[in-house]
Amino acid sequence: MSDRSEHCAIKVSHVSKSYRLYDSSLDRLKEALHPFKKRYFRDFYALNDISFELPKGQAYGIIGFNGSGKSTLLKIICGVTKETSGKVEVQGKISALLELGAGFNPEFTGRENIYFSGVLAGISRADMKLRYDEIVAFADIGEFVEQPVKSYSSGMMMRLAFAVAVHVDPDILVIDEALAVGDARFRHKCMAKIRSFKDRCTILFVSHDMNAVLSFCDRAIWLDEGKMMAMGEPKEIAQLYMEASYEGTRQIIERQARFSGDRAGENPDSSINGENNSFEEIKSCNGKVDSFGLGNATIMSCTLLGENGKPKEHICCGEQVVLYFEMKIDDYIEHPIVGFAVSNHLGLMVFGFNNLIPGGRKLEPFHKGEQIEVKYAFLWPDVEPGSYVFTIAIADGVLDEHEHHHWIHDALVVNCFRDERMVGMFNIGKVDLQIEKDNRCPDGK
Amino acid sequence: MIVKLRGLVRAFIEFVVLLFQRRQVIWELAKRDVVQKYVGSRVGLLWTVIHPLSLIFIFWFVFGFGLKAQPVDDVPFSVWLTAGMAAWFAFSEILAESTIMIVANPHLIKKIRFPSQILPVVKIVSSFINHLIFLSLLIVLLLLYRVPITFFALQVIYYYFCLTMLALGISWLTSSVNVFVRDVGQFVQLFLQITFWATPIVWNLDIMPVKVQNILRLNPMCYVVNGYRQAFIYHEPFWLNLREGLHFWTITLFFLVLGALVFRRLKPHFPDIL
Repeated sequence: MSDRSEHCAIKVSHVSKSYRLYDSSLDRLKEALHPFKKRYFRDFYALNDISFELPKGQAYGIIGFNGSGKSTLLKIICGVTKETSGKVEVQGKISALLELGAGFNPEFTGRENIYFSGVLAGISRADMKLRYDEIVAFADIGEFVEQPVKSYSSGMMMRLAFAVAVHVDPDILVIDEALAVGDARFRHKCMAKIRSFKDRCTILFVSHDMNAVLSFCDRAIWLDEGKMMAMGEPKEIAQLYMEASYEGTRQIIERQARFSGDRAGENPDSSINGENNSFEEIKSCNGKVDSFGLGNATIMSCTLLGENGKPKEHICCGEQVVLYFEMKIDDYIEHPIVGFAVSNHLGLMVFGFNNLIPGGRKLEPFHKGEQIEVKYAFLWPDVEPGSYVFTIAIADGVLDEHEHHHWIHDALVVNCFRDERMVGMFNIGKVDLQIEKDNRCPDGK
Repeated sequence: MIVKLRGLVRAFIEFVVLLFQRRQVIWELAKRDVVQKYVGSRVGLLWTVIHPLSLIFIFWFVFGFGLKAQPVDDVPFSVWLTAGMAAWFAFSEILAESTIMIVANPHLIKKIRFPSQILPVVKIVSSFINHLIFLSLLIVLLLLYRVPITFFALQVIYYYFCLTMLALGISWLTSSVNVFVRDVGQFVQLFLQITFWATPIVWNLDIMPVKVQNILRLNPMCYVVNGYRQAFIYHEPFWLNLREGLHFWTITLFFLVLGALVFRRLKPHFPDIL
């Protein structure tokens, strides 16, 4: 047992943190000094009985919604706040990036703060001097290093804080979503740096970026409302987490749907709205979002289904999915075109389909009063991970000339993830790599 | 009781070890503290000299020149005054500024793991500059008025240690409570104003009736102020007033223990409140 704990960089046993909600700070003082420990507070559990061990040299990721206690847990591990009950054992020097510019004095220049952070981490001024150039080069904030930290942008603050945190020889690196404020270039620089730390350093990492957790953590921990929901392989945990977050969004959507009332201006015939209830409620998807059209048809609902026929919001590349939507026909449509397009987070249309392009077929006219169900079954292509938006539309005409009857711009948002790395927007799949060596080079025999 | 006492001793040893381990942090913070005070001002560190000088001049002008204060025990009033003022101002600077030190450094308390109990010690270190200037001023005056300087002057080290310990104990108490109730900072200012006049700094204890003297001697700073004069003016060893010394250390230990206990009890709450 003792042998095991020696290999642990961080051991968290049954840690709880209750924030005591006081009516005033005077109550807090009275209680802290009360000889008979009278209670003046109401309890709020930010963390509830968390236990895990982080072995030396491994990288763990913590995921969870906002307010799930991730940051509190990190703060306790770093010793900034104290746990209410339980025990945290840490072996080695922690360098933490908890919040922007942690420990920086805003009145002092970047240079002075670099030195002071070093001293706080137990590195003497002389030693810091040797690393100073490297830190400044990494932070890359130019002349600002001689300016008071209070004049920094949040990006610069983060750059400096990160640069210092990784240059003070930590045994354990704790990073709390801080990277989110950096621009893409610096974020990548940081990730590369963290990756290079993976061999010699234990890493604890909080992120919303599922792909970062997937690609580099050995294990993931999922926190929700202060409780540890699960711990295990990042892929499994990510799946669980995403399913839960889908559940969460669904609840929100349903709540919104209840309040949103009828769709404005789209359909003056209120009897249609009454029938809406028979459809699956996803009204919020099209309730206030970009939609337009002549109105002979109305798209009522739209869902992406997985293989098991259940709605899905998180998709693996290569997975079989079904895009399903229902329409109400309010007037005759002679040459229907139904289609969808999928755009990435930049708004670029990545792929799509309609019944008039090769692979589809011509449809019979739609008549008033009909209810149409449309299903597109396809394999999710091997695209880069991220969020994708479905646009769906019903039009009348031919490919080159048609009028839209209902077009919904952001009908559906899904998240795509993949566990292997790739380059670019599309993965090209199997590649035959051949490299020929030129034997005539001077060193060769 | 014994267990508690042992705990206290252990806590004290841990504190001393902590001071040693974090000596660089203390030093850097003290340097910042001095610089920060004068950052952006034109004459900068010169203010540390201007301040005590003008204070002594004002008191000398009002009491020595205006009210025609007589030389005390054959020593010019200004010398006698400066010896007392040096002790008092070291004490009041440490206490007044340590009290607000935790509130003034939220970035250290909230964002990183930081032993906040060393903050009053930082103040002791950074205020030493002012004290040195006061002492050099005193020495200049002693030389000017041809008051001999003897080995007894070295006792100032002991008395300085006395006043820092008293200030440290009270500072732990006031600085931690001040996080919860910000009025403490104001109260300390007022308290220092009052005790300045209640301590025999600008007036001689001997002019009071003996009964009043005995009451005024309860003030621990009375011991330190007299000690400074013993060292520089009367050339007496500190063991002459053993009883006052015992009294002083009883009060100081009381404040050190109380301050440490209260600080330790309140410390976990600091990051949540600031």
